[in-house]
Amino acid sequence: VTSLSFIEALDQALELLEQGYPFEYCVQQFPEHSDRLRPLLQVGDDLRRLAQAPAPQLDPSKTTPDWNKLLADVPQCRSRRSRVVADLHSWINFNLLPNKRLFVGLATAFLLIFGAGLHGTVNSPDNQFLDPLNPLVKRLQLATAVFNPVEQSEWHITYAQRYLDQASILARQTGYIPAGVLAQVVVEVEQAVSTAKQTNKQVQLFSQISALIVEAEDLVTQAKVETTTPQWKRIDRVSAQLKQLQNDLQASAASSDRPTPKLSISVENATPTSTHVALSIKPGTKRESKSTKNNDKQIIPTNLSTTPLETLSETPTSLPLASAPSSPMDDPTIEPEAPPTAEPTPVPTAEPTPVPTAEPTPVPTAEPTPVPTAEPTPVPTAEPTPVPTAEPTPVPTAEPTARSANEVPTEPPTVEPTEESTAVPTAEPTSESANEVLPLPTAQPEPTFEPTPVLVEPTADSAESLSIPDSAPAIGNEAFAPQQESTSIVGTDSTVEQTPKPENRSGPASSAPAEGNEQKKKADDNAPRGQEAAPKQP
Amino acid sequence: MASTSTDLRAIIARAHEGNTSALQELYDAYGDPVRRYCYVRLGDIEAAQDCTQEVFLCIWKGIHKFEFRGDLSFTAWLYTIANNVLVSYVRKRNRAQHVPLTAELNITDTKSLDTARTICDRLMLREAISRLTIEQQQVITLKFFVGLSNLEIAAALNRTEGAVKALQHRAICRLQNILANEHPSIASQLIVQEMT
Repeated sequence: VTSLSFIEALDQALELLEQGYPFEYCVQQFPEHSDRLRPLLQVGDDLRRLAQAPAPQLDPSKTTPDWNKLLADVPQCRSRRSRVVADLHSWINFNLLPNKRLFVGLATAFLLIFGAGLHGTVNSPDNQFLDPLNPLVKRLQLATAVFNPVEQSEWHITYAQRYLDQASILARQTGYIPAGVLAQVVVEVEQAVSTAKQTNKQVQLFSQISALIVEAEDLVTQAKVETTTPQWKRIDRVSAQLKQLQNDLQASAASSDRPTPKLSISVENATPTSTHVALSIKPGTKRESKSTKNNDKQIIPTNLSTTPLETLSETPTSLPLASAPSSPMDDPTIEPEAPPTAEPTPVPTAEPTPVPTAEPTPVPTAEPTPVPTAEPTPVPTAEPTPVPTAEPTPVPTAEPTARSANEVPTEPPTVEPTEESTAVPTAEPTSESANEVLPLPTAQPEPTFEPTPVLVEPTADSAESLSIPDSAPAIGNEAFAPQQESTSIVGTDSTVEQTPKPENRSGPASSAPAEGNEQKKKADDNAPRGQEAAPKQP
Repeated sequence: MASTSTDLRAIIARAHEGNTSALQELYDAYGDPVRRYCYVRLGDIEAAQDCTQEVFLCIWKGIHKFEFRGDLSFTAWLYTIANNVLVSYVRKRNRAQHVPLTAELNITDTKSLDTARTICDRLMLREAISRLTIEQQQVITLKFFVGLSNLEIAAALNRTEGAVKALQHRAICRLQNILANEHPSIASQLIVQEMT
């Protein structure tokens, strides 16, 4: 208290001093603090006198600045602010009464809270705080698409995918999927199918839905879930219904001569099996990207489809003869394709039915299922004839040159490939699996014509000397090995389908042009060189 | 200074409109105390003049954001800007707060009879003030050299009036200690002369 009083006394004494009272008078006003107050008040008096001293004078020209000159740059900045910030500031200050300010604040807070709640609701998993609002949001979203069945179906697909994502997250975190989530998936899928029927984009929607079903089935198989619930049992029914719809759609498409264009596409893609996969990947951008996480199957087919595509495209254009010798390594790989070329026609017919059963679940679920069924059949019909011609297994040899030929060009016993090609097809394709190679021949047809003559010449000269045919098949097997491994995951589907191909090829091969006979002759010629396939071809 | 609150309000309103004459009026009203304030803090009249101009330029730039709530608010805002300008100026120059002798000689009151005492007195005080803390310097400068009341100083420093009084007390105590310890002879002589 005393200190505070002394501070007050000092301040009051300084005030008195400032007012012109004598120094002693000011000290005497506070006798209880006179001893301490005197030296401090003296300093204060010195400060006062120092401040009263006239300040040094400057040149008047310096003390009166030219503001117009100094403010030359300021107005620009000021005008910008006055127009934007100052106007807004003044509007808020003067145009908004306190009540309005309160209203604006509350409205802004409500919008922020509502927006955050809406965002959280949309992404809220089941049984969470905001989940009860989900149905309301769904209704609002579906209400916006009342007159657009496509959009409605897409919304249902989105919801189903969202529930599926939740299920996958729960499966990863807890290893258990609540039955309610899967039931929601089923409900959304059913609604998506029902609405998709009314649209003209059934192919795309069905493929997406089928991909969803496949993904759900995979998820169910990987995690613990109450699959016995009645809701989940409906998924099989929906899947069957969807397949039926897809088949009907394909049938209608086939009847309307659509297959021809599709065939051309499939030919470009190469083997029917590979096209099947490739198509499945194309459409389902969203679907497939997610499904690929779990399935190696899809990846494998893509590789298969791509490899043949490139080879096919190059071979026909390039020289079969030159290319063949350059890359014996590749020739064998292609050779197996030759035999399949003959077979393709039958294979597709046989495959379509099995393919959906086997693969549909993993890969094709998206869109491929429909495509393959339609395409495979047409593909063989359209090109089968050329395929055998394509057998020019040598041609493939040429293609490889584009890829790997560069690596092994030294060996390029140009002639040998021809021999190998003939022999190889007989050997490997028949025995193991030229399954995937089948499509390749389709594209190769053209080269087949050229290679035949070429083969004749080289066989005599260099083929024997190099005796490449023996090694060629082995190389070919190695080259196929990775593909086979990959396909093995995909499933037995591809392998199963492909295996029958060689058998069926015998039929179409017989109908194949004389070139096929010539090749057989060549194979016979090569038979003594140790080609295992030689005896099998007939 | 502006004579009345209404005058200052009108000047600021015209400044809001971009009228440069309003700036000149503000400078006429507050230029000298600001220059003095800067001079006491810097010890260089030329630098003080430069800082004064800078202070009023800053006022012009920010006048559109200033909401007039009375003379006290403007005074507080003015010396807040002045303090910021001084701080930035000192940083730029990175110079010590010493007073050149020539400048100090100009401070002397030529009419006074005891010129020598005044010179020594002011030299000691200038040096002692420069050794105070920033807040203490602000309080002493605004109190004795600018002539602001405790309330105005409190507003300018964003402090309470009681805090300003406490700062003033500590500043004067420290000044007294500096003068007594480092310049005892002069200080005692000054005290004796003052007593007589």
